[in-house]
Amino acid sequence: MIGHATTIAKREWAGYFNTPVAYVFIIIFLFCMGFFTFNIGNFFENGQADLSQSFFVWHPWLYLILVPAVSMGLWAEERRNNTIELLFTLPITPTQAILGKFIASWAFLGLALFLTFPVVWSASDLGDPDLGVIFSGYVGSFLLAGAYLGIGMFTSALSKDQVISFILAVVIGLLLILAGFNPVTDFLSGFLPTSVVDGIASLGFIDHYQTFQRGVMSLRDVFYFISIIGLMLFATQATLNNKAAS
Amino acid sequence: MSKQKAIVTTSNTLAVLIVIGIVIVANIIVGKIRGVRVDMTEEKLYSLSEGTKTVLGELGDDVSLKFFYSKSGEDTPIFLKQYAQRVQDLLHEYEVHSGNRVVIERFDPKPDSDEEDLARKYSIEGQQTQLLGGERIYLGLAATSGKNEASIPFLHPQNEAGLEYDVTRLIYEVSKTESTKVGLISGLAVMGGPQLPPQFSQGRPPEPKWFMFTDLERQMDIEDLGTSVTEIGADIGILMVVHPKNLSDDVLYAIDQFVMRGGRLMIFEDPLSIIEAQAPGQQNPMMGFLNAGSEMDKLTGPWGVTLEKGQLTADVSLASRSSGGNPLVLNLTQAQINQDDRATTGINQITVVMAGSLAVKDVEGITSTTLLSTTDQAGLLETFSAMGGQQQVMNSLKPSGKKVLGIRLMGAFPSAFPAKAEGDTKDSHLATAKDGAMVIIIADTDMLHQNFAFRLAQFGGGVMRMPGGPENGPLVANLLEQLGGSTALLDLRARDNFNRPFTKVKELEAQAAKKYQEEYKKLDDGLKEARRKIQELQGQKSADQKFIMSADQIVELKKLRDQEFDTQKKLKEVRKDLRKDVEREGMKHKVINIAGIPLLAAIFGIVYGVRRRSMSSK
Repeated sequence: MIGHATTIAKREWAGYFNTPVAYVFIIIFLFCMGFFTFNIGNFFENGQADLSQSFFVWHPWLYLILVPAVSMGLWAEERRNNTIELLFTLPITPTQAILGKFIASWAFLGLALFLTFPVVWSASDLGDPDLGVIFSGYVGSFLLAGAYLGIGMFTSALSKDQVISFILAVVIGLLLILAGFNPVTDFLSGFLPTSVVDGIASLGFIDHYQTFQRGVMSLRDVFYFISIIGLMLFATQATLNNKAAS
Repeated sequence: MSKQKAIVTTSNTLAVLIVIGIVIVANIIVGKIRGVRVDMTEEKLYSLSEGTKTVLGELGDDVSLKFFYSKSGEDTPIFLKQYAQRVQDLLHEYEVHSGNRVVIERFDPKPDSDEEDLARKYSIEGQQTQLLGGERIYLGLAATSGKNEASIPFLHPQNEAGLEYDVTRLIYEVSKTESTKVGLISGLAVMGGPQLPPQFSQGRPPEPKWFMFTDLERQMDIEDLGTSVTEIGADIGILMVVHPKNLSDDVLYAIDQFVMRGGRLMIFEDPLSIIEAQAPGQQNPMMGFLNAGSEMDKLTGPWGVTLEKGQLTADVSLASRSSGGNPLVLNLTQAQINQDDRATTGINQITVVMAGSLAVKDVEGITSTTLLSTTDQAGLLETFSAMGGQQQVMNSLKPSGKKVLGIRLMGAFPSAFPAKAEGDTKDSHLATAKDGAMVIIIADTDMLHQNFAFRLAQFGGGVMRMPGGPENGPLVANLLEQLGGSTALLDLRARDNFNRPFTKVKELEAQAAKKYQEEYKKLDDGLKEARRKIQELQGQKSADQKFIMSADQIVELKKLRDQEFDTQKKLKEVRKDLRKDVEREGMKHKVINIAGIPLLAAIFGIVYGVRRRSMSSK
């Protein structure tokens, strides 16, 4: 099963670099990261060799827009071209196809994230950063990207139209960012019991993501991101099954 | 067909909903699992330090930690909830590392509940979060062990770096079986003066107890031992020696042996006690100034610390503004107060007056930690110069580098009285200090007096303490608290990981300052010289040319004016150059990060694309 999934992943991965889209994405991604870190996060002017406040802090917001741009075409394209039936008639299961596509896209996002390494070099050149914290920050960011990707994959399966799938992914992503956001929880606690509000807040991205930014990798936060990814992949499969049945 | 489709759709949707439910429940369950985590921080900020482990290892009785937290409070802000989560994670570590000898109980004090009453019983304070009413929010910690109890009324998220220290300190407090008693040997009437007979008192009331000591007595038991005590009782945990003037050898020996027994000693010595010199009834002010010094070199010398004899520490850059810029009245700021040490960290300002300077020498087996110091612009002055005017002090001051004003020593102190080993006391004589001995030496006594230790204001005939100003009181209290504690607590520093400055930028700034300093000074001197000459020329008109300058002089003047203008312009450029290197460095990093890698990716993409195209066309 894994074998077929990796075959699909390899095919998808190679596919990325055959079109200019991948390069455009990487260029925009890196430019945004650098611009936000230096010009909005004022990394240099702050004079601190700490990436969490000027670099990692932007990731949830940049992923919100950029990851759906990667994922929106994942199934929408196949469905528009009716290649999806073809894919499912191959000797592979839908799960394998989903896993393969997900792994390839996640690896691609990982590559884009890896290419932000000059900022680590900058911090090390200018000061003495805590590399352990930076590593943990990257792990958190990569898991966060995976969660966004899962959402994007699911919405891509929902609609033939890439624009709709993009907007749906942004909306769901935004909800998950806002779930742990102070003004939102304050608003919710106006009419919901505290335990429910806490439950909603603990489902949000931010709380879990911030633990990584402090330099702590804990089971509950890793489990959270993996479970969101798992849920989204499951939902993707259910959606595709539904569509296939029709 | 459509019925079948409906069934498939429904069952799929149902399955997704079930999985969502499973994910939520699983996250709640996993969220309760604590302690499974990797602390990636370099200084292990989120793991227990060695000091805490030592304290936990030496626990006498079991300790119960009562954690009060308004978990279900509607007004509890989310950042406080997240902080409370981290506090609970840390407390869990205590439970694990103590082998369950520290037990955690959790309380959620809802308004008007039994839990809230319990919180109040332990003086846990609810915080009002909303301006008008609203629920009180509790986030506090109480510890009990046997009959002892202590609490932290509110755990402030701002103090997260000091959280472990606070909790360990709390556990240490309650697990300690007896409180520490402070013995006092003082050459000044810090505990209040005696009622003098009328012929001497001239109608004055006895001197009141110093404010500092009134404060300290609220926190600890202080016993005045007098200046001729020859036996320090076993119940004394900390010995405080203030202004040790002419102490006899017997008294010094008693203090020495107290330290050898592993005692904790705190010395305030002074080349000039201004309080003594200006005491009412002082007949001869001159003699007052010359005889108001104290030192304990005989004892502390073998430990590597002596007071510079008859020398006062002066530092123009620390001169107190409220004293009119007198360089003998020093306002130490954070840069002069050790910010790495638990007792002194967070203390922002200390005032010392006509303080001495400690000469420190390395002694094997003794580790020293400087607690208070000056800037490197400080110099030493003879005691009598304090009587001269401020200008005189300024003129005679020659900066000779950083001076040590306060120091802590730990380790195997050698006895200052090795000869006693052969005398009649040889059976009980201890030649080296036992574990745990600690000595703190401060080279000023005036800093204990309210005139300098606090900000005072005249109020209806009396004086009132005002908020702000020097923090001499908290400093002394912290040091005594530290002396009363386990040495393990010393390892617990406030672990602040947030400050990681760009050292390279600072270096560049320093280099630029050094590089341009000379040029700047040269230009500045040139400018002054030109201005001086202009003035000179204008004043130099000889008698026969009352109003008009000679042609030569006019040319000269014009030249000088040009020179002045030029120099001013150059100075402006030098000032700009000072920032140039730093700005260039910033630009370099910005360009590499924002444009560098995207550019490389673009080039790679184009080359790869072109090659692919040419390959496929072949």
